[in-house]
Amino acid sequence: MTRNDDSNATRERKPRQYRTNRRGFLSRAGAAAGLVAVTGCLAEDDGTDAVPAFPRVEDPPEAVYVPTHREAMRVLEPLEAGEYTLASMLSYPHPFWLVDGTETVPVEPDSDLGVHMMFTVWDEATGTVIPLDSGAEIRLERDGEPVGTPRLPWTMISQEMGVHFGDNVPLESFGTYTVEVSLPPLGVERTGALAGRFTDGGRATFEFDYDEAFVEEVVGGVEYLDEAVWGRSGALEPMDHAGHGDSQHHGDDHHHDDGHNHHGDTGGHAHAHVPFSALPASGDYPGTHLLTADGAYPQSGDATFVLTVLEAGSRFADERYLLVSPRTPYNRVPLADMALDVRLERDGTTVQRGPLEQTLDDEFGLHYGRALEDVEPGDELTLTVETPPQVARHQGYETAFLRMEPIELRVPELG
Amino acid sequence: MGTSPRAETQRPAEHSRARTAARLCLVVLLLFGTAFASVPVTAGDNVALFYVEPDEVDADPGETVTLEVVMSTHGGWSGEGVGDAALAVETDSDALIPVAIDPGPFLAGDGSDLEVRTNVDEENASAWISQKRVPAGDGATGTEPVATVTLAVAADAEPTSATVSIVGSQATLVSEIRQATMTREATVHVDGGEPDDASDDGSPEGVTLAEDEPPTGDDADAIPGFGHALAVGVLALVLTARYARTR
Repeated sequence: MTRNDDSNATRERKPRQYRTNRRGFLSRAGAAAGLVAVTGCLAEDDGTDAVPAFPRVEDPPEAVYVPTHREAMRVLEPLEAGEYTLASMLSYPHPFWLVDGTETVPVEPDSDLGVHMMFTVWDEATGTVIPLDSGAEIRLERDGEPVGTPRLPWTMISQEMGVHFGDNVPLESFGTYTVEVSLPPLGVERTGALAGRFTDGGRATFEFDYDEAFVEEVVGGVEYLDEAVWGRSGALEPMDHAGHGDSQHHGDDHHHDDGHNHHGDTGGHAHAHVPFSALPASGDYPGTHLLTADGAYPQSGDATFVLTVLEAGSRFADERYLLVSPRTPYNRVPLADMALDVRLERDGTTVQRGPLEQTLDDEFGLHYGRALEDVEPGDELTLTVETPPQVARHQGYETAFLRMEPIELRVPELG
Repeated sequence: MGTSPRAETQRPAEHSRARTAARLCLVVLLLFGTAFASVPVTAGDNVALFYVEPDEVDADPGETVTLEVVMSTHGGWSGEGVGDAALAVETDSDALIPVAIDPGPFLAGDGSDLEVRTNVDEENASAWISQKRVPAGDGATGTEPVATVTLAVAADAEPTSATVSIVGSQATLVSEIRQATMTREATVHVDGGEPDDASDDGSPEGVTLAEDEPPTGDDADAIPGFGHALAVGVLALVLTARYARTR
């Protein structure tokens, strides 16, 4: 267990069962998610059980699941930060999960006072949401005096917000705070309209009022879902989709495909357009798609993988190019910071093997790719997830995309 | 075991209006009559849970049923406990009449006395209780009954299943931060009555469920009233803010 404040790390945690004998509730949730509950996981120093500080699903499936509630936040006007455009979103402090290899490490707030500060960064020209890896920094001031120490926010994914970065920021009192956000040069390979750009960092400054009205807004706006759906396989729709009645499954990969790539403010404030990091629908990728024997897009760790072999001479490579696009189910959020390895075998002999490169493209978003010098129909392709996505998770994503089995496919006739 | 006179029968529309008015009154009472003059701010994912135990019970006409309202909270992120709490319960059937509401052990102990205020409104089938630790000390955490509710089953009650809901609730930490609250209700099956399993498809707006999940019809008896409790909570927040601003 990790807490931001070591002084508060004295509580030993242990699992605890909690009453859930709601008639019918277990019969609903049991099949889908095991025991679902408002559960306890804390043990006090005297050994007596306590209860969790927030409602959560106990023993959730190792898959994307419907969390207990929908967050509310205040969305501030977007700002320019060098070549980046940045939108700041503020909510109440809440837990999230870091990922260390294939394990998650919960992070809980230091205090009830403060904000969960989040940022979506994108390229205004193409609308591409940029998953910053590391190097961003947040500094707070109040009345010209530094508040706390600079924070290094985490790259995160959430069902409602997609890719963003952020952290809990404790605040001692109400007041007006000035925030300076420093963004690093973009380290990931860029292609298309993003090639050669974002070589310099950016900086933006904004103010926000942390006051009673803000707390009312973000706490009063929390929507707890019916317990019947807690822990079930599924997801909250991106914010802007909720309430619009445009929810739909995208058939092959269960992703929404309604063309809405933006989300809105649940806090009641009008605000500018903030893009949502949805990848293109699977059918929008060119080339020869690699499917399972039953004609579906392969899955691993509850992620859907779009694999396509592009023709030689594409803008990605002189040879054929393997483009792999892992994404979350339902919302098509890109899964960043993975280590993927591909192996091609022909008649039992390996003809090519090597890592894929994480690449950000304005048309296909975040993906992993590699030139294929020698690929033929009938080849056996094995995609191995050497490292699952090393991005922090909001509730509902923390158990998915961790234990990811290799994907084995046969190369079909190539176009 | 004892009985209580059945409340005067009302036509459905009148009954509904009366209940709505009663709920608003309960909220106002909770916030203004029993808020113990604190000026709290609220916490977010930090939640206090109130639930009625047992969550299902059988009863016969003329019986008296005692239910516990259990409170469960971790306290604040900094470890502080709850210093005062209040809740209001309501039944949705004239077959059940609240006759008493009393404090449970949750807030008691640790050298603190309890300031307790209660009200029972038999006509509107509702009751509320507020409690405050004096001195607050470190506050209370954990899971224990915070109140007991005694309900009389009308002697002439027809078979039915009545819901006992927590229609208002608040928990304030000793740091004067108010926790968000969640509630769960209970069902009293009178004279063999069974609940209506007809509604709730289990797929709230803005949620996409996997296609291979069990049919949503399987979720017919999803815990009702949760949304209502939340709405009351939101209303409470708004009223709290207005109250605080006027101080």
